[in-house]
Amino acid sequence: MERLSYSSRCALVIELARKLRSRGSWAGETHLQKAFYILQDLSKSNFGYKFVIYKHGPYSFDLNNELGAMRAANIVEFEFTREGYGPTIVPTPFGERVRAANMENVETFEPLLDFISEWFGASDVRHLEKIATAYYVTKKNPRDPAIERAKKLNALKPHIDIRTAEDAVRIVDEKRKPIRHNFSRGRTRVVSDRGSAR
Amino acid sequence: MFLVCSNQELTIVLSTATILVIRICAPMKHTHEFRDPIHNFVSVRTDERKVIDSRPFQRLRHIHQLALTYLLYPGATHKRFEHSLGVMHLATEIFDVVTNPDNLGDSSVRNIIPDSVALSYWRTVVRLAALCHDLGHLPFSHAAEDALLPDGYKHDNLSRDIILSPEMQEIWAAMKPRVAAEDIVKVAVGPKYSELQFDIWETILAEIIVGDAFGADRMDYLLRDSYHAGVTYGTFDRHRLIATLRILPKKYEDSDEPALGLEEGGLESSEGLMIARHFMYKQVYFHHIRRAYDLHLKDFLVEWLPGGKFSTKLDDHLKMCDVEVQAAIRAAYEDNHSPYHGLARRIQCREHFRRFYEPAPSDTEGGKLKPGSIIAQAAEAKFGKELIRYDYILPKPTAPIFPVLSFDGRIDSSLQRSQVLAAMPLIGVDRVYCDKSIEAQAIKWREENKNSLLGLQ
Repeated sequence: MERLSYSSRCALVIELARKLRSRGSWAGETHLQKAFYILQDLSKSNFGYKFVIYKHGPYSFDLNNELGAMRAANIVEFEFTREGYGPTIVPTPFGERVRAANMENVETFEPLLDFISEWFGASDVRHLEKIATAYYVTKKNPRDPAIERAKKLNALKPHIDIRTAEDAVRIVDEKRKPIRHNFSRGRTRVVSDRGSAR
Repeated sequence: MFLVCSNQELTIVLSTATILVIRICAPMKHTHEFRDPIHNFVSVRTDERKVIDSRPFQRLRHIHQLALTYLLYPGATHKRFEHSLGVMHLATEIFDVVTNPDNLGDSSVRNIIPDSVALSYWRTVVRLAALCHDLGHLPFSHAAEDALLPDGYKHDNLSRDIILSPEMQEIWAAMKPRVAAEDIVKVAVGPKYSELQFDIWETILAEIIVGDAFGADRMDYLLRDSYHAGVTYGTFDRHRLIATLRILPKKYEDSDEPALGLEEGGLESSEGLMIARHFMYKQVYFHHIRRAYDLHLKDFLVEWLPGGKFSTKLDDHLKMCDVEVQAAIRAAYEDNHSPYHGLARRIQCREHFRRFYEPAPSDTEGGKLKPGSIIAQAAEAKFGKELIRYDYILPKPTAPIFPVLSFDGRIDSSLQRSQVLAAMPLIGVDRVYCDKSIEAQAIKWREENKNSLLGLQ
């Protein structure tokens, strides 16, 4: 599968950060990392980001490098918008132009961007970490029962206890299958947090 | 009967005919020292010396730390061998500070620290991993690594393969207690290339060596490279920095996940480290002439190596170091009929390409994200591919985010606590070179065509 172009990836980062912010997120790198991990899986697209378990769960050094390059190219910048939180990634005026020029490619992802930003926009890192790691464990071990995946999650992140891990695995099970199924069939019906369709 | 005692022998004269000589063996020495210009003494244990005496580690004596940088900075002839010893020295200091019970404040942190037996095991792993972290380096270190290895391969993958090789497994198996090669791989290579899964403890141990913020690798190379290159920018207060390192939960992200951070008293030292790094990149690592030699070395190797790539078979890898490549360059230079003669001359006679374009900040205003690539493409069409080279390195973030512990127990992000870190510029390369013979022409052509090529007014 051909990799999405660099300028389209830049536009996607900006659009995802914008949507996350509109749902209450401070849209720092941790949010973007976890959101991209799930976006890459659900959309079955090739962004070229390899993910490993690292800071707060799935993490891509490629994406980290690319965010650095985007800062250097004056496409995004850091802002400290909330006391006590890390930096928010916001587009520069030049970045907005890059986004506008590539919106055609980004629009394909709109339903998933909405789904993911609604799911994670209001999450703190603690929540994000457990869901994204549960997602990772589920993707790696799709046939394992929930309790086994919860144990694997706990082994990777001992500060997430088994019970919390099991809850996280169940949330992922509820959400992952239907959205993957719908997106792959081109019908992007999205299941909300409460399990209803909209 | 009488006794005579010297340093090594006890002589007992029982009678004129019977003399008993007892040799006194000195107690077996278990630690050994290397003299080092950066750390004065680096101590190793006898079992660690087996790693140092191994074929893969001895090869590092013949790998220049800074490739052909010595052609501009003549003192920069140091090798990966002493750097690896230095990394072990610093990694041990860091490990001892961050696992000191007095420095483990938060319960979420205390919970991840293993018991004393396991802690001693992991200390050994950290030291061995530090020694082995660069075993996979190609001749001339990083120069053109991407082009000279198969897709997706880095020197880190080779380091991993060497640590897991039967030759090294024998050494790990003979250690007491036995050390698992996979543990060394994790800590030496880190999560990016090891293809293994890491728990939080292992992640922190890997950070101690290869971490962006306070990795012993980074600390040693900055200090050592600046010392040998004669560039004073690379220095910083490492003693203060290491003394204030702590494992801290990232509370500023509403998270309990521990990471390597700092007490606020060390913030200025960490700023010093990042500034040192920034200057070293600008003045040494990304210096335009040094990068030109990297390109020429790559050109030579692509032609000279079978299939244009280094072999990833371990035996081939271990047989190849800078000496073989230098000999080949010299031989090609001495032989006018060699197909590589012209390429060798560029290095041997300092006939390096000249920089003729590097973007100004305003050059991206036309919407071109890599202006250098546009200029290079057009220049190749105008002057021919042979006379133009394009060099691009993705800009690197210079200031990673890490937790900082205040005197009142609050934990903040480093970028919030330090305006210096928040304002550190990123640094990359987007540069076009041309052959010296067309330098004036190329500059004139650039002046006439840049704006239209980049969509500028």
